Amino acid sequence: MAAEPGQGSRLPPGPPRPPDLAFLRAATVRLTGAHGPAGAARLLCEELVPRLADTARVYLSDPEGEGRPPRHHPVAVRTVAAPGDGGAPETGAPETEAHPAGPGPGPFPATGGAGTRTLAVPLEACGRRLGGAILTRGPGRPPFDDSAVLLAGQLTAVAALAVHHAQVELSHAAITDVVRQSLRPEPPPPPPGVEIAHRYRPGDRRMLVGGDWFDVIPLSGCRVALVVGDVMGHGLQAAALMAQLRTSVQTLAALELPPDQVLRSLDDIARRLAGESITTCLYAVYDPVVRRCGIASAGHLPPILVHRDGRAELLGLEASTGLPIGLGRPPIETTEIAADDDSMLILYTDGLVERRDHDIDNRLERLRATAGAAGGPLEKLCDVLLDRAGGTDDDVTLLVARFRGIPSEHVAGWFLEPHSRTPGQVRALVRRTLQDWGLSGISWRVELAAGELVANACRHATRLISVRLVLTDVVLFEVGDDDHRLPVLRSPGELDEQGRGLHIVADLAERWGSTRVAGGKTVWFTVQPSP
Amino acid sequence: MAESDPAPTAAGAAPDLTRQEFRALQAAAFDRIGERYDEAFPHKEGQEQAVTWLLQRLRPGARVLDAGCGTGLPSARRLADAGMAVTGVDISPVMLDLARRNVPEARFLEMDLLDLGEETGGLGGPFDAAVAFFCLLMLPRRDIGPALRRLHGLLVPGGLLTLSMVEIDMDDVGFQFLGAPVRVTGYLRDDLRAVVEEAGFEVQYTDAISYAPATTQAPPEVQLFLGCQRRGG
Repeated sequence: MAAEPGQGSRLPPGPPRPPDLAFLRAATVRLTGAHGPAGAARLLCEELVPRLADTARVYLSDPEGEGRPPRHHPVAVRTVAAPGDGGAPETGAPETEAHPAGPGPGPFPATGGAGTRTLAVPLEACGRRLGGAILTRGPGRPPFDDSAVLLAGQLTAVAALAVHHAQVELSHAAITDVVRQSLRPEPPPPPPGVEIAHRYRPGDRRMLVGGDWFDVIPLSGCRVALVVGDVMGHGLQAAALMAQLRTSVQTLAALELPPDQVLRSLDDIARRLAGESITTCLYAVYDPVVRRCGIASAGHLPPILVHRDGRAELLGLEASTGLPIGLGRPPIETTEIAADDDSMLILYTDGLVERRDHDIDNRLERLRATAGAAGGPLEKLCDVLLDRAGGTDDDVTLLVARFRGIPSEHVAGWFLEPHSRTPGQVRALVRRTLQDWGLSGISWRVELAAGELVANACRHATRLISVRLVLTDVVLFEVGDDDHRLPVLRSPGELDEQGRGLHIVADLAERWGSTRVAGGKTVWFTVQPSP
Repeated sequence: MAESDPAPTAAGAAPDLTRQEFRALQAAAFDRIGERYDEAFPHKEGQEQAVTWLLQRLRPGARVLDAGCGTGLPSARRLADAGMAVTGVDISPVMLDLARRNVPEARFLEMDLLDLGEETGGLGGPFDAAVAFFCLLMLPRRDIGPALRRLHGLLVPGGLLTLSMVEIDMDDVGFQFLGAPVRVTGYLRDDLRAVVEEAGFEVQYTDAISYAPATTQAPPEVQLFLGCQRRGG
């Protein structure tokens, strides 16, 4: 900054000069390089002091509350060094106390002008009032003249644009963040009987979202749905459709539909939501009690099953090479496989294998071999598989499930012909089973709730009812009957004999629910073992 | 018999069948099932333990009847290995052929226990012990008591009986079992014990295990094992 010798940092008084265009140009370049709104305010102070003023305070409105008055405290302050300091002017941090010169709440005052020692310049851009700058000159300096007012106005206009852009960028970043966080698949804690690891690497490194997704959805009866999908395309557009399809799959999963039906319904939905889109998806349901896994694929790459002994196979599912979702009525079938304990199912998207310069079959074969050779913890397996995939600008998604199963001694199931003694019989079965599990402490709760559900089932069933107890971190009780109507929690009238059972269950159980199944329904509840 | 489709067949209610018709239906089902039985139920720890209980109480050379012997595995095989004189009976010719291959040294007869008179006929009894693993559940409840009394009659005084059932509360209900239609009966354990005691046995050993069959869509079941001694002279 030019300062004439013998005058400290103050401009010499004298005849008005023409605007210093070289300075203005250089200052504009500096201001447009500002980082963030506060950075722009600081740069503005540096341009104003000492060249135009002895002190400059820059106030900014809260960008969150558009139209609100600027904050009490300036975001940047700069004052010429006191005589004798000998140092350069300091651009201070925002003051912590209300500054007497600062504007109070209310419209920012646009006061001052040529002939005064205090000049207030609004910061405005794109029709928005962003804040203002207050410039003062001490007694050792002449009042602001016309050219100083013009120059200050010009600098402030440039700074206002910088502030505006910085604020827009911040709000874009905030929106992106929200979008990214809401679009990024995050699975819930793993359900019982299965161990899960996953990787998700979007091809779009700026937005960090993509058309890939995966999901781990707990279902009734300790079952769990594993999902991997890939909406064709990249970036936000693919991600937006992905989010809709992911929600759809969650909804379809909650209906406990078989895998092929989930994907067929998803095809209908995808064509309604986005007619021209193409999506591949793989949907698997693992049952840790019977140790089976049902898998359906809509044009997705084949999953890899790694057996306990390390043997790895690409599951050539029926119709797995069939049509993807979005083309209408894809031929999809559910294939059922044995899911032995300690075997692993690896689901992934094409980013893990696809490179244009290689044959896809070769790459699948290499992935299969790598998966079989890598042992050890799931996280390590994920790292190895991702390393082998190498750098790619495609989305990469990997979901690995190791089947753990629920030990058969933690499962007890019975079929019973419904009659008047059945609720009592089931209470006895529950009592005995919980005693075997060392959980007599919660037995009364489970017995009471089970008796209510079984009494309901016996009222409606025309054939056998099924009863099941499963011990995981909770005790699960299920009763199945051949009546399709799901129970509804109603308020019984004071004199009603019926309608209280479900209220009792809801009070005694942590969670309860009902599911339509083939041939009827299942009603269930869980009770947490006391610590 | 241990596994059952969760959905009973359409013919859930017991049709009016003569005993011969009923037996022919059950036998045909097991003729169809054949070797698949042992594939679906590969682990038989409960049955092994019940046989162990029996062998600990028998001298080598003792005469043992295997009622509803099926494929002869694992029980007839193990009893023969322990030096017992084993006689197996079943109503399924296909199962008996498998049993004869699996346990050549034993004697196998196609026979329904309920057809036997009070005399022990061609069976060559009396027996020191009898086993009846998952076969009583192929009979309707009205025939289970008589079948147990028939076994009682075939045993020497103080003779031993081990049996197993699936813990279910139903009488003669149609099921799809390994793709074959059968009719199934069972008791909850207290009721089973009462039926066995009623037939003249003292229950000395009980075991209940949860069992998950190695087959598609087969629900886990609770299997009951009883070790009993014939009461009375």
